[in-house]
Amino acid sequence: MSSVSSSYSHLVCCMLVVLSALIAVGCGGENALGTDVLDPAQTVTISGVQWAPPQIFNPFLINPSAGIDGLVYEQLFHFNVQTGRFVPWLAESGEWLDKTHYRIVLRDGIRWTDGRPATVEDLIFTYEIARDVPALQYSSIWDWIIGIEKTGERTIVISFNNPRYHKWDYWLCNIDLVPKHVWENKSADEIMGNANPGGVSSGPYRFGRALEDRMILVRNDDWWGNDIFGAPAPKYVVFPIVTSNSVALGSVMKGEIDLCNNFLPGLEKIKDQYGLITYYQDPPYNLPANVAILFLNSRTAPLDNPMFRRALAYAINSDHIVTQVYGGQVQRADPTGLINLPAWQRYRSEASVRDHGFSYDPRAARQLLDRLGLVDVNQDGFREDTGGRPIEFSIIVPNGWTDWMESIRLIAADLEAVGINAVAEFPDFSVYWDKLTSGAFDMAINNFNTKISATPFTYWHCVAYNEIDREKVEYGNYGRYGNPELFEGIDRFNLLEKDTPESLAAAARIQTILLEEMPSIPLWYNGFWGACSSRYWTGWPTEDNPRGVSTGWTDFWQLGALQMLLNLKPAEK
Amino acid sequence: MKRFLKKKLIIYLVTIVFAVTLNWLIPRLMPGDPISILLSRLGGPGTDQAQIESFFRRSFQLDRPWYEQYLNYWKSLLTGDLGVSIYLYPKPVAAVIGDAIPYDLLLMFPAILGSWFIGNRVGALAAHSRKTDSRVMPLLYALSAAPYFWLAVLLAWFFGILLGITPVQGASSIFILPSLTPAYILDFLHHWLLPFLSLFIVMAGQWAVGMRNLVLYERGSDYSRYLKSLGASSKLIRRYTYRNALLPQVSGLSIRLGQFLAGVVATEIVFSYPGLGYLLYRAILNQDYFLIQGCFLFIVLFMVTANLVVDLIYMLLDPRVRMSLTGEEA
Repeated sequence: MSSVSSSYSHLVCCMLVVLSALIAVGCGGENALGTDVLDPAQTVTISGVQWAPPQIFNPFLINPSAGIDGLVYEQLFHFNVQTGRFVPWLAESGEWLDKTHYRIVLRDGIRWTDGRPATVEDLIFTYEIARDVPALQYSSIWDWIIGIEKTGERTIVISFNNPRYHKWDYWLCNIDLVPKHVWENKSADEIMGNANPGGVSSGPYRFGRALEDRMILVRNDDWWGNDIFGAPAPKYVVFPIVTSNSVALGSVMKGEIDLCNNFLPGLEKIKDQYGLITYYQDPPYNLPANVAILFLNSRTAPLDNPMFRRALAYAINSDHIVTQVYGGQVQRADPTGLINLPAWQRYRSEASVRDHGFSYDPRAARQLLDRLGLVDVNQDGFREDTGGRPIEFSIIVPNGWTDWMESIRLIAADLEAVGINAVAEFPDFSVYWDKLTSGAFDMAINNFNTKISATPFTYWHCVAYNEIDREKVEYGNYGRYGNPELFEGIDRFNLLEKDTPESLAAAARIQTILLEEMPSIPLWYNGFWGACSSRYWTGWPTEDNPRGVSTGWTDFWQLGALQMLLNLKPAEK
Repeated sequence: MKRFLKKKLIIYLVTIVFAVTLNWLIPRLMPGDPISILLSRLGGPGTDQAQIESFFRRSFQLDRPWYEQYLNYWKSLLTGDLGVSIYLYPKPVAAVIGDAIPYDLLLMFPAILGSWFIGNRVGALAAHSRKTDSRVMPLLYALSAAPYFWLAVLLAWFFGILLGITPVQGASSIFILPSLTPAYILDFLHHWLLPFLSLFIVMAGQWAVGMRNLVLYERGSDYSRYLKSLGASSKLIRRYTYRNALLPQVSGLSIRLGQFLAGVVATEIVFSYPGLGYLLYRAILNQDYFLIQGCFLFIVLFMVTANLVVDLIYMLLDPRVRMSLTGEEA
C-alpha cells in the first residue's frame, strides 16, 4: 500500500510546515512586556483608535501608532477643552515677553527612559531639527521664528519676526519633545524612515509590543510626573484594532473593551442595559469633538453662486440627521461651525449669526432658488438652470462609512424637496479622497481637520485653506473657494494678539464672510464616541466628574485624554 | 523526465513574467493616489503639505516616469527587494508579508489536506452505500456550492453571535500575547476554528461530490465488472476503484487551488484574520502599490509552485503519464 504510506509521509511533512508556522506566529515581534498574558484588571483596552497594524513609533512621523503622541512622547502644554485653558505639562510656564519673544521654562526633573535628564538642549534640538529637515510636520514654524536662545538652566527665549499667535498655540500642544542624544547626527532619511520601536521617550507609558492586531503600551514606572500628577493606575494600555462597529458593540457588551471609541449605532438603546458610561447621561452623550462639513465645489456652476449655496444651507435639515442617523449622539452645528466649547466659543460672533445666520427653512430655499431663475421648466420635479438645462449633483462619502452614507441620503432627499436633483454616491475611500482633493466632486462630507483645538484658527484654516491652486488640496477647503479678503482676514487673526478687541473683531469678520458666502456648510458636531465600561475601571469623565475626555484618539491625549487615564481607579470587586 | 520538466519550467517562467508585469500595472491603473491617502490624516495647520508630499513621492520613486518605475521594479525584484509598504510605512513589504504568511499556512494546509482526505473518503463511502448517499449527499451538494464568505458569515453569526462560544475577529484575544505557551496555543486554536471550518466544510463538500461521481463511474467500468464476475471481494473492488478515481482528484487539486485562494481571501476578510488575504484587502483599499505587488507576487509564486508539485505528484501516481511524457513504451 504505497499510496497509504506516502500519504502518511505527506501528512508528516504538512504537520511540520504547520508546526513551524505556529512557531513563527508564536514568536513574532519584539516583546518588552515580560509577560505572555495581560491581567485585564491591570489593563485599559481602548478600541476605535488603532485602525491599521501599528508600524510607526516615531514622534516625527505623521500618523504614528496609538498613544505614541501623548502617552509615550509629551508636549510642552496640554489644553483643557472643558475650561478652555492651557495646562503646563513639560513646560513649567510659557509666556509672551513682548510681541515677538516667547519664553519657555522647562520643568525640573524630567527624565528620559534611558535615565538621562531632559534639558533645554533637547527642547532647542526639537525645534531646530525642523529647520534642518523641512519635511517635518512643524517645519513651517521656521517661516516666522528667527532664533532660539538659551537664557537659563531651564529657560529659552524664542524670537519671532512675525509671530502667528494661534498657530503657535496649536504647536505648543502638538510638538513632541525628543531626546537630542538619540536623534542628533541623523540624516533626513534616517529620521523619516525610522519606525523607532522602543525609542527613548519621556511619557507615562513606554512602547510595549506591536502586534498585527493591537498596540500595547506599558507603564513607565520612572515617569517624572508621578510626583506631580500621580502615577497612572493601569499597567498596560492596549489598543486593539476593531474596524467593525458591530464587533466593537459585541466586545463592549461582553466587557472586553474598557473604552470604546468606535461609533456605536444604537448606543442609546444598549447604554443602560450594559451599564455603559458616557460623558452625558442623555443625548448627545458625549462632548463634541469635530465638525462634519458639507464641502461644495465652488468652481462649478451653479455652486459658484453664494446665493445658491445659501439656498442649500436653508434646504438641509441637520436636526433630521441628528435624530434619524445618529439617534441623538451628535449635535446640530452652529451656523458658524464653531464647536460649543470655550476655546472656540469665546470668538463666536453673535452679531454675525444674527445678521447672516441660517437655519432649516425650505421655503426660504425655494424663494432663493426662484430668485436665481432656477425653475422647473420641464415639469420633471427638478429645477433647471437659467438656460433650461437640467442640473444634477452628486454627493459623495466613502463606501462603508454607514453613518455618513445615511446622512447624504437624507441630504439628497432634503434637496429634492426644494427641487434640486442630488444623488448620493459611495465610492471607495481612495476614489472619494482622490475626487475630494483634486476638486472633482460636487458635494462631499468631510471632518478630518475640523477637530476641537485651543483656537478656532485651526477650524478656519481648514474650511478656508488658502493653497487652493495645487493639483491636490489635502488640508481643507476642498471646494476651492477663493476669496482674498477671507484669506487675509484669517492671516490677520493669526497675527493679532489673542483675546484683544482687534482679535475678536477679526474673528467676527471671518464669520460674517463665511456666512455670507457659504463656501461650505457646517452640518453637525461628532462626539468623542466614548462608551466606557466600569467592569475593571472607574472614574471615567462625566458631566459630574469633568476631569478629562474619554478618548484615546491621537492628538487628544493632550486635550484631556491623559487626564482621564490618570484619574482611573481599579473597580472594586 | 528532463524534457517534461524543461517544458513545464518554461511555461511557468512565462506565466511568472506576465503575472509580475500585470501585477505592477494593475494597481497603477486604479483611480486615486496612495501618497495622497497617506497624507489624508496629516498634521496641523501650517504643515507644509507640498514638502512632505514630495519627500514621500521621492522616497517611493513615484516621481519617475512609468518605464523607469517598471524597470526599477524588475531590478529590485531580482535582487529580492519588494520595496517599502506605503500603508504600513516604513515597514518593508517582505517583512509585512513574512508576518502574514504563517497564518495562511496554518489555515490552508489543514484545510486543503483535511478536506481532501475526508471529502474523498466520504464521497467514496457514499458511492458504495445507498444509505449514506441519500442522507449525506444532499447536504454536501448544498455545501459544495456555498460561497466561502457566505458560510463564513453564517458560522460567525451562529457560533460567534448566537451561541457566543467562538470569537469572530482576529487571531488571538486582547489579553493573550503570542508565545509558545498552552494558553496562547489554545487561544489561537479557538480563533482559528471558524475560519478553518468555513474553508474546510465547503471544500470537503466539493471533494466528496466529485469523488462520489468518479467512484460510481469507475464501478461501472469494464475492469470493475470483470473483477466482480471473477468473484473478487467488494473490498478489493473498492480499493481499485478508489485508486483510479483518486487520479482526477489530484489534478482537481491543482485546478481548485486558485478557487481556494479566493476562498482564503474572503474568509480572512470576514474574520479579520491577519493572513495574506486580509492584508491584500487592506493594501487594495489603501492603494499601496508595493504591498499589492508583494501580495500578488506571493500568490502567483504559491500557485505556480503548488501546480508544479501537483504535476509531479500526478506523474508519480500515474505511470501512464510518466511514460508518455518520457517517451517510454508501456
